[in-house]
Amino acid sequence: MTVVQVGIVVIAVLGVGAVFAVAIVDGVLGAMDHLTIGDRLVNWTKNNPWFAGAASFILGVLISHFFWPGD
Amino acid sequence: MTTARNRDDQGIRRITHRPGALIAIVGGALGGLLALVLALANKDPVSHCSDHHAIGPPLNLAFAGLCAASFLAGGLLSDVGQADDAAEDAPQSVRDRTWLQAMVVAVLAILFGLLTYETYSLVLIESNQPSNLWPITYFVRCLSTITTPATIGSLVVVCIMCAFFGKWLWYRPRTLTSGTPGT
Repeated sequence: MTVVQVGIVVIAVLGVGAVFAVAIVDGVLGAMDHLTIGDRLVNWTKNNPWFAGAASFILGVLISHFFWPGD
Repeated sequence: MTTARNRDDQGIRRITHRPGALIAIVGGALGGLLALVLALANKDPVSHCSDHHAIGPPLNLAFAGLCAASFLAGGLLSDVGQADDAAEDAPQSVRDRTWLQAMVVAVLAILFGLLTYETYSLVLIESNQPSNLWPITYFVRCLSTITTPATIGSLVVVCIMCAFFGKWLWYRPRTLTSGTPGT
């Protein structure tokens, strides 16, 4: 396995896989009538709307940077 | 044996009765599996990804448009069937708050580490030093342009991620539909 392949797997697991792992845990907690990670995050978003807005903006910028032609 | 099977049946029934939980589990499993397959599928990415170009038009427009639409859909659809704000304003315990803050710190620490790596690898490239380290941007662009199925798979993965971001990060105060607050 080359360095590049290892890098791709690390990014797939850390950057992308983490989001999906949280989503699965969220679904399981929701099904068990527990307070989900999503519920906690929405409460946090409600208390910190500017922080959540900034986080959404940064995510949008990153995704655009990855998939839009340019440097 | 029967008790275990009953417990499994109850668990499955609980999940199928909650569309939101079912979507989160299926979306999370599908997206995670797809990301892993995409990451492991190509045996020789270096030879295919020498120019580090992003997806060209018109597909870049599809990526931008569908990501924005997924974010909006995630935020809007998570409101369906929800009660009003007053009902949701249950006080959080200190343990919950600490746990949430620890999670936010952990996520920010991972992002900090990834951005530090991105900066370091870009500095190496800009200074023309020989290096095997690619910036994260190159990895993502390589993975999303390597083959047509990989491009479609990347679009699906990033749209699912945007839908979850919309659900988690886009808060809008809900209007009361049930008459009095808290009912």
